[in-house]
Amino acid sequence: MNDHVDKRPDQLEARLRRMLGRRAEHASEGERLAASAHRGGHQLIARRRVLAGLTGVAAVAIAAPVGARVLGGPQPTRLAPTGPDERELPRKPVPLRIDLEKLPKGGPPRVPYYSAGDGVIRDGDRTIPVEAKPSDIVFFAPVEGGYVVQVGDLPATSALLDTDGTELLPLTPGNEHVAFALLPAISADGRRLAWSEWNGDAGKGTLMVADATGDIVGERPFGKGRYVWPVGFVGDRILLGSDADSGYAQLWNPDTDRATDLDLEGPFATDGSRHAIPGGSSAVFDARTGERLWRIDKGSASAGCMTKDGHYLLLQGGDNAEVLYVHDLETGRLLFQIRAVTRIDRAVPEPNGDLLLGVQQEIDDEYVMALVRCPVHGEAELATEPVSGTSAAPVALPVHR
Amino acid sequence: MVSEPLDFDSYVAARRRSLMRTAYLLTGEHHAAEDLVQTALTRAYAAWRRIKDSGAVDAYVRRTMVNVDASWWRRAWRRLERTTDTIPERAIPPPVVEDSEGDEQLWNAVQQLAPRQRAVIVLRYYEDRSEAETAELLGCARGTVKSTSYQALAKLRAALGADLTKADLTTKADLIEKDGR
Repeated sequence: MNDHVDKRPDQLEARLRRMLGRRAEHASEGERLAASAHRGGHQLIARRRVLAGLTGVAAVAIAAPVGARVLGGPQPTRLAPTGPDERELPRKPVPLRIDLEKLPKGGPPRVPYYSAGDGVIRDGDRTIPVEAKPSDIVFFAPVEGGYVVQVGDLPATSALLDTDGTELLPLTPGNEHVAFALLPAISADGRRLAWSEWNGDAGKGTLMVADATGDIVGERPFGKGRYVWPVGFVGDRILLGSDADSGYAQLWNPDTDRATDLDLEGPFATDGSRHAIPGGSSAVFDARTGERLWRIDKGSASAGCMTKDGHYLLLQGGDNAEVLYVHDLETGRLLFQIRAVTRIDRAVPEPNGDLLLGVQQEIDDEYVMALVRCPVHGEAELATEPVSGTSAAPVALPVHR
Repeated sequence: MVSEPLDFDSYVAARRRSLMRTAYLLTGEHHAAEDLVQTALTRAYAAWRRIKDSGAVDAYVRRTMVNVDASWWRRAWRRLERTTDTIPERAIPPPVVEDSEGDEQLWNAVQQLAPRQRAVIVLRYYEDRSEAETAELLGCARGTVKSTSYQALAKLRAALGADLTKADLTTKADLIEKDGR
């Protein structure tokens, strides 16, 4: 090594020491830390006791009886009964607890998933390369003949890819303050996608619609500082919501560019025939008649999503999203109340109705993640081995929208 | 270091400022720093009976801090916390710091490091920990600390580029001048 190379690290190290010392002087005092830690500590101890109790009731997995409906947590008030026979419902709440250290190994996922360590989407026998670093967060959703992929946190890059990973159409990310709306909404047949392009400085943007082949088929400007985003497809039309106006809900037909106002408060999900609104009283409405089908009267669960197959409404709860409430979209019945040790990332139904979860868990001071299958009938099992990694999600399931 | 067993409040009172400084360097944000220290102290409180007599309370809290901050789960949660349809609280403005030696550029470069790399840099060059101590706190091998530190410094050098050479030369010239040589 020459002299120049030898000396530079030492100079840098000295500069680092001085700079860090000066910066540290500007840290805040944290006067209320002791009191806050007392409160938090008590809550943590209490939570551990509750978890220990739950473990005693139903450790690791529950063998749910055929046709069983699992109760517990927020209960729905069914306003227009359309669901299964009441006799199929269990009499007692049955919680389900997921502990990655105790689950048996099961078959591989039956839906596509992203593997950050390999940098590929695995879709059956096919692997689709994604241009991402192992540390990147990747969101994706399948469309007909390809995938929509978002790489990175914020800022992010998004694109429509074909099944070889070739970029068909670059997508401009939306509003970073509405992170859940960054990925496009996708039609039920996977042939169309809709997203919002947003110019934060100008306070305006454009709704975009494209075929899954990459051809733009519709555009509609919006503005006045209100970010409008496509909640999802309702047939050929698109349900629109807004981040700044909870009363904003429109159905837009991109073919005719006509929009219809809906009497719907802050829609966050639709499966095409039903819309859901969030909050402490989540409710589901009939998309055709506007009739409220059911609502959840109580509960601390936050807004989640509907699964693409139209079977489930998923709501997350707990301080760290460690609880997942899985409701039957038809009736509002709570099917599963799934509690993970640390956190549940996302859930996707497999073709046979089993639910696949992305589960994160702290084990020996390290965070690992695995995909876990929760069959309607049977025991929970690992669909992938737990892995650690530098990405926020070393394994990621597709996003529903 | 705290060597005597203490009650929880005394420990926090004695170490609060020091913990906040390290947390601020780890996270680069005031709110995140408070959040991080609070998380570590909450865990310490819950485990107090077990750790207070071990003489390793400070190590426990700092180990929790660096590992929680470096964990991807926490970063993902921060991302989720940004998902809001309400007006965010007014942010605390960044501190006005005299830009000695191009501090701002170096600080920004440190913030761009991967969390694990940043943790090594803070422990080694702010807390002045040895490689062995840093490895102990991060729960990894000493060789990993060495390689992580090497990679982090290489990234910083690359980020600073010509500015590093210029600033170093300036510093060197100042020293020579001060020494009267």
